[in-house]
Amino acid sequence: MTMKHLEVQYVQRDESWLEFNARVLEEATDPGNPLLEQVKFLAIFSSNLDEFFMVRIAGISTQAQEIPAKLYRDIHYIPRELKERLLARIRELVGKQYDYLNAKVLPRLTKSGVRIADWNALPDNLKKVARKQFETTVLPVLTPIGIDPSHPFPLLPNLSLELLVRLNCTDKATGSAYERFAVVEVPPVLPRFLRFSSADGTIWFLPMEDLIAHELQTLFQGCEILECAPFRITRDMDLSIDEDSISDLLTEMQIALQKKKDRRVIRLELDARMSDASRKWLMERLAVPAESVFPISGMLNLKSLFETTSVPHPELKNEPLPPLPSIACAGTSSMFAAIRKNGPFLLHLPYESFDPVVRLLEEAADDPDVLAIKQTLYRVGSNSPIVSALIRAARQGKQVTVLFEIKARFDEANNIQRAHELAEAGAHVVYGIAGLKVHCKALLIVRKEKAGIRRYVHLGTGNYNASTAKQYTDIGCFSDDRLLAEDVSGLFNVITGFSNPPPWNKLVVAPFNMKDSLIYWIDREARLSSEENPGHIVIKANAAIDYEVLERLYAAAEHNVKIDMIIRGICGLNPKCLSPKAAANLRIVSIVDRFLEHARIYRFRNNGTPEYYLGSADVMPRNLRRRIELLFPVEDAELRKELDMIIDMQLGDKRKGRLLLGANEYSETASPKKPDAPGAQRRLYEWYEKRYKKFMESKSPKKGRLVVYRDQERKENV
Amino acid sequence: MTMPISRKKTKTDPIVFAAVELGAHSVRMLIAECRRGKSVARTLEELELPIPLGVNVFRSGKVSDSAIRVICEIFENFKEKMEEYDVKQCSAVATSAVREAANANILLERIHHATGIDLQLFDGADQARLGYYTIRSVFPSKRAFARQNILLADIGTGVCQISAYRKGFLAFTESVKSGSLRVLDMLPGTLSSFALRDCLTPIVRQSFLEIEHGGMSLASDAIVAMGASARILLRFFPNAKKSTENLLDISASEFFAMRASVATRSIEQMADEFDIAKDMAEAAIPCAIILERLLRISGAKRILIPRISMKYGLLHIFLNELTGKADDFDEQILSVARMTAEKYKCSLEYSSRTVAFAEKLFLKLKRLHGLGSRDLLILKVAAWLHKTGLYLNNQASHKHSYYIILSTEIPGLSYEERRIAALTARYHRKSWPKRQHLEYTALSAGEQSRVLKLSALLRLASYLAETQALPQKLSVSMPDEDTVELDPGLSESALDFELTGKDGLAYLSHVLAVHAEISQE
Repeated sequence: MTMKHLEVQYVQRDESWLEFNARVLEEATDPGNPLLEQVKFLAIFSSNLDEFFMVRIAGISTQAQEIPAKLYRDIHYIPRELKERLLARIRELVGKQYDYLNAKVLPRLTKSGVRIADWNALPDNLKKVARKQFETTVLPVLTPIGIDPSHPFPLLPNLSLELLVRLNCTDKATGSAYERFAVVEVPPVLPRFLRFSSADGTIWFLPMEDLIAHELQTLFQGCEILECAPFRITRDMDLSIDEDSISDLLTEMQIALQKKKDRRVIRLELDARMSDASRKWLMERLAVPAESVFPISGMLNLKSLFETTSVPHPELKNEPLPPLPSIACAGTSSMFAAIRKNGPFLLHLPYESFDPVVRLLEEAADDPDVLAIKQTLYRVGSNSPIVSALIRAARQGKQVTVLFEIKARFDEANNIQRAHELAEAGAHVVYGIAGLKVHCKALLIVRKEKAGIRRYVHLGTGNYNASTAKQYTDIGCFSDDRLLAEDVSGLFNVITGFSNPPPWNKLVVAPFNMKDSLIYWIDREARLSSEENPGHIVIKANAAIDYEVLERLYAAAEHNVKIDMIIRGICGLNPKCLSPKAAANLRIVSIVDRFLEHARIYRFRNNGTPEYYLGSADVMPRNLRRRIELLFPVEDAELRKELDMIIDMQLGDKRKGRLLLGANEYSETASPKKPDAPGAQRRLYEWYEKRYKKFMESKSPKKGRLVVYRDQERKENV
Repeated sequence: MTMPISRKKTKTDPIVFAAVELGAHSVRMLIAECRRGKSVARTLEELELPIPLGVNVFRSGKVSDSAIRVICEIFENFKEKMEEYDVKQCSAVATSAVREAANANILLERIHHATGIDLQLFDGADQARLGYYTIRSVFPSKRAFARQNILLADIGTGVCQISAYRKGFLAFTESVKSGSLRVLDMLPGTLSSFALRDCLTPIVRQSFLEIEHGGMSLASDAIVAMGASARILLRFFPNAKKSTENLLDISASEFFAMRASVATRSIEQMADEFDIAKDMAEAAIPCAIILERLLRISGAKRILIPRISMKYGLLHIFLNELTGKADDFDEQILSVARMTAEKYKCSLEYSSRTVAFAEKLFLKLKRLHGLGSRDLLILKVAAWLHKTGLYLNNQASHKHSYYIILSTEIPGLSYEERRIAALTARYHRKSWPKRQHLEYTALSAGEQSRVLKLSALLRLASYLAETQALPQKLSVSMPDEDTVELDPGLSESALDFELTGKDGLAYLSHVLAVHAEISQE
């Protein structure tokens, strides 16, 4: 393989991720996005960054402390240096975020009648209302904690907003004055903003910490308040459990969650106006080094800006794209009949509605011929209709088996609660497999029919979560294919520990055969490819960072294989490290738009006999080695056409598709010539809408000829 | 909301069947959907979980308490799986590893207690029968199976069950105490994986000497290797992985090449390279050496390894029951009986006529004796083998026949059935059963009654065969309730009625409480 050695061959995953988040931030500045959508992107940027600190920066910090220098080569970077680079870039991006928020977004919001303002800007009449609310709602839940030698510094929860108060108190006995610190938590049970409407129709959002800061004297009577500044800590939340040495994963996970408060502080965000003395005092108490301190020029925790986007200003939001009904399920008496008659068929979320999945489960729960239901659940969300249907099915005596992946990050507590509910209903709940996270999305229903046992499957690229199904683009497939069902059944046998992995008929399953298959497909493409008959690989995934696979992709590009990738987030490839001819074969697009791109599609030309796969796996070492993931083939010609259409639209997205130019370097879309031009997501919605309308027209009963007279004509006729 | 109503079950509804097999290295389950009247089943599930049962039993002579708990847990999971498919019929068998355990009955009881599943202990002969059905289900056609001479080697941990098929018919089956773990245990001490191979070869050769000298021809066209350790060998043939057929067919030279190539690897390397557990890699070595030995002594040119286990044999038996098909293994049982008769130099012409007379008498007098088809099979086996004792000595030959039958492995017949066959042969001449005959009095009342009836029929059949009578000319009639008249279709002068004839009639009369006589036109 000819490589240009001066160019970096692979981009480090965290640096690549950070650039993905930079693209999210770019969306906040895209004039084509309505103002409240820009606010959302600012919130998403912060939310993403919180997770990045909790997991990745925490992990790299540990590596920097623990891994001896000689092992650096195994992880392809020097943790200390990487951390410095990441933190520097984060500071740059956060600076940009606040600059844009303060200079552009907030003034524009004000102009549009939405004000996110501090206490001083609030009109007097609203201040009065705010004070009243403080007394009735806020004050009762406030717990100021004074810190002195007999009251040590408290254990502060992760990501909670706190106020550091510096006080000047007087000793009653001696009359001498002394300084002390106190901490007041902004209670998480309260909304972040108090919302008011003024007479002129303006909607006001007053940050809760501002209200509390203004009313602090009520809490510290007898003391002089010298200073009050908000701060927020981020802890290391990478819950790693030694699964080989434990017997009960559920209990261990619960213990780990209880210990969340104890974990070390990875980031300290504080108001940039906080005095040096207070800052130093706080850093000492939290044992935070200077590099982890982030002075913020503005409101902390921009994630909570989500709360402000619910205002009734449709002109400031994206035009709604309500999920469309699936044409394959329309007009059928049951989902089982729909699958038998129209299957296999795809469901493309959120363009199409998630209802068929819920409907299938609900029908299965009540159907006396259904013998068993098996499902993997990763992030279900609260009040999940999926879990409710499973509970009902279990109560009706069906064999319900649920693999509840309680290790799904940041959803652990919610998952444990739902898992308990299922187990109480009589379902067989499996809490994951030691050492492997179950990330595949599979549903299997065993039904006794006249012709014998028939198994129905739904396989997807996204979680069984009715809420995210409205925001994430995912593709699911309903089928009653015998071999596919046999594989899915085998997969559940592996997950539940009932059997060793079987020889798979159709499924490609990690960690058993996925990586080998992926490498085999790529190598096959390279082998079959020539200048006259070039191969073609399409990979749409969230991330591509497995260096072994990437190396094969580079080699394939050098062998005339055209490689098109739609990689939303982390991408380790650098086209510039290839020869110009090979680099021209590599096209990588990242789409960041109103929906979160989440579907994974793999397509291989295979010398004219193409193969298509959908699934849960990204091209990442964790997906291919440490998780149970699956890819399933799409064999139906019509469904393949649908996938081709999706791929073509996304690859051709000039509006929201950013092209990878070099190492971590993407083209810009923030200032396009036509800000209102539709991106691939909008065009896809239109495609599905058109298809649905056409289908409904074909189904509507033929009526007599309808003649519509225009007024003039009618008059004339009269 | 109207609740959907479950369909009413009809007679044509498919039946879901589960076959469970507890082997030395793993527990396996097959769930298949079968339809009445159809001999094809649809596989729904195949499960397999490893258990180190073989090592456990072979080294300590029993299944450990912890292993019993693990096995019960696996069976509970399997039971849950059966409920998922509404399984109505289940057949569960345990192979040699459990059979050799001193506490086998405790394991069986624990499994029954935990799951309600009745696990049957299979002996070597049962296993040979199951092996027959298993290879029949993987052979492309019955004709392909009947075209060649095949040596079936079911290699267990302690025992290797060898069954020889001549043009589709079973000639003999023998248990050779040379299993994959037993031979390892016979080694003088801990050896490196390379030394292991050199030391095992003479041990295996020694174990197979007896079968080589046993008087039955081992010459075969192909060897069918069965058992978990044989299936591991499938991994050593890279092309085998991609093939979807149920049978790996390799030439002897390919096999020897594989042996030579594998011989350069340590057990750890084998485990790594072929993605198998270390204990299985260890078991694969003696298995390969046993097969190598069999190739040499049989002159076979090919080795066939089915990818499926014995649970498919159980499914085949169930399908036969479901379709009402006669168990075609009866043919194989009679084939073994015939080959054994040949081995002991019996007159095949005489024996076959005895079998035919016995069958005719059995069928004609069915209303009187009330025995079933299984008894007819035992009678035919006894008829084939009742003169084998003559091979040893003229004196008390019937007693020698008894001993020979009891010591011959006849697949498809349980030990109890073989004992009835042996006693049937023993009473075909001379004394009637007496209280002094311990082997007879040890039987239950029901078994004694079966021996009496079958031996009475055989005694008369053997008398008729000794004459020049032809079975097709024999006529049996019952002019009234108390009389049985036999017409052998011979002239009086051709019928020597003085000795055995009268005795045979008297014995039949005694057993069936009728008056039996010869009537001649």
